[in-house]
Amino acid sequence: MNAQAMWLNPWISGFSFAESVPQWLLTACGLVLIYCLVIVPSGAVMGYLERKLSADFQARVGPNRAGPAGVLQPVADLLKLLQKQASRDWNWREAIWLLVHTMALYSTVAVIPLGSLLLLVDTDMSAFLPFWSALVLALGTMFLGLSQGSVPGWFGGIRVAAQALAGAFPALIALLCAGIRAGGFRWSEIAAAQSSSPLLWTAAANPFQFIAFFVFVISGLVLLGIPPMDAAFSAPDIHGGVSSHLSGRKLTVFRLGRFYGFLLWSVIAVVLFLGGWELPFGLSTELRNADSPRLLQIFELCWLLSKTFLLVLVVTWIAKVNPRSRVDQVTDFAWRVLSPFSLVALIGASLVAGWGAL
Amino acid sequence: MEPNELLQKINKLVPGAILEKQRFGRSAKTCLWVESEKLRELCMALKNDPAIALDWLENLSAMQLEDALVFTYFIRSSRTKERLILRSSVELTSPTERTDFQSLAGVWGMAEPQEREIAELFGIRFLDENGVSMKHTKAAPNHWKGFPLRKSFVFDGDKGTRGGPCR
Amino acid sequence: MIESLKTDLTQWEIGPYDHSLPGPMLLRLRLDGELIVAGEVETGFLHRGLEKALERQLWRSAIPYADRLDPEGALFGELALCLAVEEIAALAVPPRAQSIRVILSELTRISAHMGYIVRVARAVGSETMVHYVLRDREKILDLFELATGARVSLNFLRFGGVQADVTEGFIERVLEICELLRIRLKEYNDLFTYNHAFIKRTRGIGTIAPELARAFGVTGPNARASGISFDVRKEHPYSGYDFLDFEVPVGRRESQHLGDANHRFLLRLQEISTSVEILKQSAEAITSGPFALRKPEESFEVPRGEAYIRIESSRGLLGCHLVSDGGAYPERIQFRPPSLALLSVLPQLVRGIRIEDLPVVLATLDIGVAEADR
Repeated sequence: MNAQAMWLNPWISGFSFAESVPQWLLTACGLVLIYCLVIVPSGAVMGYLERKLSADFQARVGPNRAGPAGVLQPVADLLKLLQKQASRDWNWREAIWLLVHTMALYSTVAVIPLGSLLLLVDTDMSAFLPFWSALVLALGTMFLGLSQGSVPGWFGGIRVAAQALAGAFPALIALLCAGIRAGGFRWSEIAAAQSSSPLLWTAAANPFQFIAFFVFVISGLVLLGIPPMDAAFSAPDIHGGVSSHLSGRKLTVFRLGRFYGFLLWSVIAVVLFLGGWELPFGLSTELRNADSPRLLQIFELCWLLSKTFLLVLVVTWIAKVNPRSRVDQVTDFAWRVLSPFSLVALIGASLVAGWGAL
Repeated sequence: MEPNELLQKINKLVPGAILEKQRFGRSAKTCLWVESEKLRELCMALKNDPAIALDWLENLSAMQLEDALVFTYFIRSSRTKERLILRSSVELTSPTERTDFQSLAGVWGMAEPQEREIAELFGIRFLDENGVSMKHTKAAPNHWKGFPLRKSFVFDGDKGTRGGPCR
Repeated sequence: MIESLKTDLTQWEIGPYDHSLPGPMLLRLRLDGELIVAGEVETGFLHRGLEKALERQLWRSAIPYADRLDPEGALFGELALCLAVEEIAALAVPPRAQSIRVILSELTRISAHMGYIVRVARAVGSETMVHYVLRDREKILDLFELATGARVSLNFLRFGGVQADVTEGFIERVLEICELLRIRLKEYNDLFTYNHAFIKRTRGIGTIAPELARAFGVTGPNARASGISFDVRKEHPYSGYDFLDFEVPVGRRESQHLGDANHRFLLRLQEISTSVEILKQSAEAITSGPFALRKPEESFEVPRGEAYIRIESSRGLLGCHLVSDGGAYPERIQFRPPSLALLSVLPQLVRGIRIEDLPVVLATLDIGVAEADR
């Protein structure tokens, strides 16, 4: 049976019609379900948390009208954006952007690791796949910027490309470090090399892995253009750059894509370096022994996502107190600081691994 | 430098440029009326003479007194902190046509933005040392007619009396 | 070292209405990649005919118009007009009114500089700093409201004094604000001023060399950041500034970053400290007595005469040339706004910077388009 659909089995095994449904359909439904049940709600929750927390950091109130303590604000925002009239018609360039964007989104949903039983694609190379997907997202964003035919759009697009290329190298090297420790790039192997205790996480294994973790997170910010490295989307000089002409539904798609890239990156960082989905107190083993795959799936997903959210919030926190860096400074930083550090981490991690093998 | 000493020196530098010496307001600063033809020459001399070194045009103000437009130059030396006020005037010939006057942007660079304003609001054409009109970007809308800071300017729907609809 | 690709130059017009600009103005840029090769400024989009409007007002009702010269530092326009009229009419302002004027103008300076910090923080994308400073600026606006009833356009000064005595408790609150600002300035420094990323964004860009400042007649904090120690409060004291003991901060000549964007920002922070010092002294030294020469409703004639008054506004030297023909209306009121020089020096500063630096340069220059266009 195909890997994508496997995670659905515990949920549909009781129904007889499931046998007759073709596999490709099940796979597609699985992807859509993950998208609707995990990624979009995460976006809403994180959007709310980010607004509320940054309001706390900045000595103001934040959203407080829609629902108790403003919890319905993301829903209200979404509804408002969806209702807005399009400022101009679609052109073929934007259609290309949407196509690439959608492809990137859905292909990465297929490779995102969400739990020991929610591994959609678990091959020898699976740790690299989301990485390439992030580059595809950047490509789509660049197309969008170039498609606008305006100076801010061009600069936004070019900056996206420059940052993505600059961030990709250190990120890739940092990824190798985690793989060296785990002995492979299969999600299940990487998870098996760690445990729920923070002392046994890859990031805590040795100083080189810790450097690799840092490099991985920061170069992700560079690669995806997350604040404070978001010169491609900066408001004061190029009016939002890539997104300067977007409004309404297009803006919703764009923002969700941006958030999705960030979430994807954080999930991978957690899986690679911060212990992944392994539940504390040996709960994972117990649930597996008790043969309750549905509970296992849900708990592991929630555990993984809460770690991810924490990481996202820490990054947001840092972004809130730091000014936006200039794009040439960002790429300089990625090439001249992050890359050497990642190489040091790689050499160190190899030595440590070799030492252990002796 | 004492005012009289200064005056003597100026008369030596550019003979015949000073028409009259006055006291300006209650502050009793020295105020010299300058023959408009010799204004640029005089200002050049004031700026370049090492003992006077009036290198900073602090303010350039224009006002209409009856039919004459009076330019007041408030100058200051950043070295000696001495101040001087120069005045010069030009007859406004026609209410709708621009009047020519000497530009001092070649002497003090900071005259340029203020001359641009005066050119537009008072209807002056500032000429540089070669007699060529200075290039001034136009700030007023294209349909704008007239020079609003002249006393003869009449607003639409206004009989030209003061304290009209603006009040 | 910057190597540029050989590509065609790009034309880019920003404005007249754009949130990266300090006000309505048009910037025509020629870009080589991200580098600005040349820039032109066109102004006049905010011209309101203020000087003409002032000629059409009775003397008394000219004051609220002078408020609108620069909405951010409303009091400076008022003060310049009042000082000019007082010089023509030879009015001696009572000491208590002098102190109130000094307190209000230093509060205005602080609030204008805080607005400046907000714009700089926004230009480099540091939202947290924006909110911190705005929160504290509100406290100063509250003080204005307590004293005058208005928060922005005060319309509080009168010829020969001020409109009313300050509210009970005002002086105490001024002293409280002084104490608060001392703490807050430290907080701003910890959060923002010495942030490495901020320094990298501002250091070495938009540098006004002392010669450039002289050539274009740049005054105020911008010139002082370039090492030119000219402050009207010191050189031609007005409203009793000569009785106060304060040091005007000036950029150090030996600093290699003299006059750059970072320097200008730091100088504003130092100016806030100076203003706090002045506030404290004048709040402690305020005497009891009358707050105006006459009752505000009394009719009043300005004799024939002329005056030229200079004051130090938050942006630099604000001059007011006033002519009276002895009638009920002013004959001519002309303002010399400090921002005019900044606008003409701007094309020199944008040459060679990146477009990401443009908002930073614009914000650190503190151009008041309202007063430049009038």
